[in-house]
Amino acid sequence: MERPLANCSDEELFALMGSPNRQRAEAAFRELYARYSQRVYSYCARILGNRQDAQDVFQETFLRFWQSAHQERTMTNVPAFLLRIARNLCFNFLRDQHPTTEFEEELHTPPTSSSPEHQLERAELSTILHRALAQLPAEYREALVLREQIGLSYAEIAHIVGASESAVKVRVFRAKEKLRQLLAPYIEELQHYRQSSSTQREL
Amino acid sequence: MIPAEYLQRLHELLDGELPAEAEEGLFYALAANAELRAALRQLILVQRTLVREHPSIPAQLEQQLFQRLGFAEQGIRQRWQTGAIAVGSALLGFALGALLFLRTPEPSPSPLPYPSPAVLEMALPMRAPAAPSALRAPISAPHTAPHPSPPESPAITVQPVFPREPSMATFTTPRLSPAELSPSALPESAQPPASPGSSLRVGIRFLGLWQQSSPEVTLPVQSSGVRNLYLSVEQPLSAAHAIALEAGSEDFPQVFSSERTGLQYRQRPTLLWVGLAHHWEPSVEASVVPFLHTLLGGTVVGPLGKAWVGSAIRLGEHSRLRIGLEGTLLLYRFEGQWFSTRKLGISYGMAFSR
Repeated sequence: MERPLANCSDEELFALMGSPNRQRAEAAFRELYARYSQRVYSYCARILGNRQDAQDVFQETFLRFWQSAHQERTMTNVPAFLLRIARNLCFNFLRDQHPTTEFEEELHTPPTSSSPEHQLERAELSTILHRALAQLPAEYREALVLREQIGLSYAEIAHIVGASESAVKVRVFRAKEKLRQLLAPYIEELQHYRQSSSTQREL
Repeated sequence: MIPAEYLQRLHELLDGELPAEAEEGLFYALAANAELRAALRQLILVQRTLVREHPSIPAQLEQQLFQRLGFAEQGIRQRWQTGAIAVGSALLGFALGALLFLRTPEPSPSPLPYPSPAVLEMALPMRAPAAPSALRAPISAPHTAPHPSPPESPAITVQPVFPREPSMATFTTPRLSPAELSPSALPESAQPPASPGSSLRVGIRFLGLWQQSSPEVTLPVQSSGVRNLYLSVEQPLSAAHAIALEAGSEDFPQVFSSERTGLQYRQRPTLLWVGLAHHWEPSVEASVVPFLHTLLGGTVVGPLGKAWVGSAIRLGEHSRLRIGLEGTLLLYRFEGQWFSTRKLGISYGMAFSR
């Protein structure tokens, strides 16, 4: 896909989205979509834990984003703005007591040269991790996803979720600690299995 | 049992936020506490698994969203743009061809370079009739007298200059002066027809029915302008050979690396090129003939060579459609090293001649 506006800043693109020239507005939207859609989708998928719900909220997020560009608005941080829209929609969705189910989606994993055995282990670990993620309180899960998967700083997360930085740090710490405790038995088993396999190979 | 303080420090360590003064204490604790080391391993694995994975956006989700927003689908739009460029260029080419065709004088039916006596017989009476005295001049005398003005009275008594009897035809043709024999002095209808191999040809060509490149680069093209379009002007050298000046624009996938930094660069710029080509196309009376087109040229990044082989389909006396397999080799330098891009594709185009 060609990206004619790839050199424009987020703020310039947001301003272009509100221009009366439909073609330019559309091109600006497509560029911002190319830049941030993956973050928004990851966020929705991890917070909601269900593919169909995540897709609905994802679409709704970008529809609102498009509408917002046609209102009088000063934009300073497009990704944070997008994630705030997604967050509000996700939490509204969760508040309406939609049950959370396991997210069965193919994952983008970078190609590695590891053995099929390791790949199988990793796939298994991923499945267990996502089950464990679904058990976390939504606020902890959100902080963890924004920090570890989307790669935001604590200050950015604090801005999006409307909490202090220290509160965000605590949420991330507790989320990770909870995951570690949930995964500890599996990880230890995995370690033993690897050690015994390597011993057998040496023998 | 792991002390809560050290657990907190482990998280800070992995987060890159552990204060320097706390490092020593944590590392001592790690050395002494197997449970703490196990916790570190577990946290590393959790963090790695979290960072590595991103759910992929389904393609149909993007389409649905753009449909809801009322956007035209990008692929369709690109096809439309490409189609519009192709049709527009074809129409332009057609208009140019038509213009050249309309400006070309009606060719004489005679295959001879100069009009036959029969043509002269029809052409010469259009000249002003000579005075009766001049008509009585010997036939062999040089025809140097200035053209007299038209007679005042009707010339009904004047003998025809060239009697129509066949027996007289060969004898009644007057000798013309060298000036009158020059092609420019002849009436327009008697001008020698243009040789089929001597007229300029203009061509327009597209690359895009199918294309493959080595190296492959899936990055988007770094240009939104016209690409995969070539224009040429051909000058025939003989009935089968021609040379051409060509210019075009196309994208070249490039992969090259730096020995200094060890980095590999991948890009797909659109480059303009200009070159000199040789075209061979046999001059035979057939609707489809083979052709071979070779070009040597250059871009801003390095030299370029092309070879195009295929079939030319005669659509009319002045136009032909050419379609064939085209190979391209681009050489370029980076930090003293040569790299190349090779492309293979099917291109098609139109050529118009006067």
